[in-house]
Amino acid sequence: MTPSPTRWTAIFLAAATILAAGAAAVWWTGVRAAETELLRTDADAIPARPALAAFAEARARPVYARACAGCHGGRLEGDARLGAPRLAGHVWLYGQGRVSEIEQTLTHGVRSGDPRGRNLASMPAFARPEPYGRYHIPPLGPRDIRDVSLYILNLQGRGGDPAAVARGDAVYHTRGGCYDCHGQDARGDGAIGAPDLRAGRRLYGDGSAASLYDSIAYGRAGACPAWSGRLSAANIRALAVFLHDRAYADGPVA
Amino acid sequence: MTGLSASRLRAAIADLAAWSAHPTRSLAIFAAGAIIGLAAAGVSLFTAKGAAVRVVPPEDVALVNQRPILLSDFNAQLQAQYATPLDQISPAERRATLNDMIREELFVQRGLELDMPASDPDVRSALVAAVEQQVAANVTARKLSEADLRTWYEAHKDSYASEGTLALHDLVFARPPASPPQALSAARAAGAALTAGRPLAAVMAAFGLRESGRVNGEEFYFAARIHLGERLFGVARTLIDGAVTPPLQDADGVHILVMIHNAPPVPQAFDDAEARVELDAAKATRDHVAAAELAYLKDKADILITPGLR
Ligand code: HEC
Ligand code: HEC
Repeated sequence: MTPSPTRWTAIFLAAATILAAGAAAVWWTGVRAAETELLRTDADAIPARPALAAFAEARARPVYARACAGCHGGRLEGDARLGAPRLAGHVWLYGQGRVSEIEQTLTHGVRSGDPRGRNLASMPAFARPEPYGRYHIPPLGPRDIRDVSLYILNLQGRGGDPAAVARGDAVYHTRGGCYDCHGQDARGDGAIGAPDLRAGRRLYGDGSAASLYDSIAYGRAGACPAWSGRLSAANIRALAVFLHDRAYADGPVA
Repeated sequence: MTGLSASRLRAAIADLAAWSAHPTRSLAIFAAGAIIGLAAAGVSLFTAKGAAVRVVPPEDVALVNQRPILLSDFNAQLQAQYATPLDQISPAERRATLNDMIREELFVQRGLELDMPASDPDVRSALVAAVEQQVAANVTARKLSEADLRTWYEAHKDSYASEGTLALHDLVFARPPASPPQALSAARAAGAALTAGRPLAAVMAAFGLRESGRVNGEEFYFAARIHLGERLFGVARTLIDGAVTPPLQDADGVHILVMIHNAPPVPQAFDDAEARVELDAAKATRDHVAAAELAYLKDKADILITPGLR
């Protein structure tokens, strides 16, 4: 028998539904497969695989815009009022910028309250009677702090009164104990998140003597949230790949 | 193709229904469904672990009695153990690490079976710390609004001030005069000479005064308070530059303070203090949430206390 026009419509509808479901399944499996590959591949090997890295970056952009840009800025430029670091540019607080290291920072955060977060040290407040909560460090005097600020500016190639710089040098390497965290050469320590004091990149303030004084006198302890449980493992890894790649590029991201 | 009007759609669905309402056809569809269902049930019944997940999800590296070992934890462990880039860690090293983690998971599961948290004090304190941190971590992810931060700042303005600094001369008699009244009048005369503008060195020499040595150059308020003592510091903090105090009696005799430079604490503007405001406000929120959590647990708990301690 010849099917009636209504029957044709019915068959067409059923076929379209099955096709759409099939396409959705294929698409979903495809995304899932790419996600699986992203997670299964060694984090540090992903940047060498352009297709996978591109998948990760495309995925990361909207997540970055939604979850991170509020503090780190739409162009990864950071926010010196919050001490949210610039993420573009290849100077890292924690580790050397390997994807696996960034992923670790994102998963558990920095001073986030997560027991596995990065939280080995913070910047003491040298103008307070008890500068550091974790162990005893003696306070400094106002002149010590001014001198050591000038010493840091001098390390950045910005001159300064030689006598004050010499006194600051002494404070840095003896009483202040700065070398203990920031290193003898003031290049910082990626194991504990002590910033490189010679680098142009600044976490806080405008880099002037006054803003250095502020950090040294009253202390610093920036916090980045832990994202595990809030973002999927695939999104966290995608962000890590994205940040690793963007660290060496410049320009708008979202 | 012609537009799918609502009536044609309804007709099509009715047509499909009519097609499957045919007695033998409906029986066949029913039978096919039953067979597929039975087959699925049979497969899951006769495979050892029933309907449990048999594939390891991509975000995990292993499932131990269905409990995941997270890939991120595994990577962190590898990093901690070998301190080299991940791609330089050999498969054998990876398996060794994974075996350790599986061993840990099995022991943890066994510990729970044995109800260790009920008996082992170390396990108990670790659990308490972990729950506290869990509560804290949930709060940290919430970014406080600018309005919240400003409210906090206004309410705690005193905490966002610079530490005051001062530099002064604290003068005492090198050899104290015979009687306290004599000391007082000599000190008054010295003070008057200083206020009149005579040079410090000359006045010190003329009256036999010396620096007490309690303060050493410019100091922060907190240090000056410790060095000068509560009484002298209380006077010093109110002095303007160049001011000379009347004689001040302290436990060790008469003092005269000459202020060189006094910079009292200055409140920090919100913009300058924002990073610290954010930290403090977040910490207060965490403490608040932790307290609320405890209150909630107490509230829903059934706690019986022996009469003597009620
Ligand atoms: C509430 C503000 C805030 C948000 C939201 C935030 N961060 Fe952060 N982040 C910070 C601060 C502050 C630091 C600096 C921590 C320190 O001082 O050690 C930081 C540090 C980092 C670091 C370490 C950089 C380095 O040099 O090692 C990375 C990576 C990072 N954030 C990525 C992210 C990503 C990705 C997101 C979004 C998923 C995000 N952050 C969301 C505030 C934030
Ligand atoms: C206990 C370890 C420790 C000691 C000691 C220490 N610092 Fe720091 N310092 C840090 C950490 C960690 C940070 C980063 C804080 C943050 O990320 O919020 C920091 C941040 C700073 C900053 C802000 C940098 C920026 O980019 O904005 C300056 C400036 C600084 N330290 C100078 C000093 C000086 C000078 C001394 C000695 C008088 C000193 N530090 C001693 C750990 C330390």
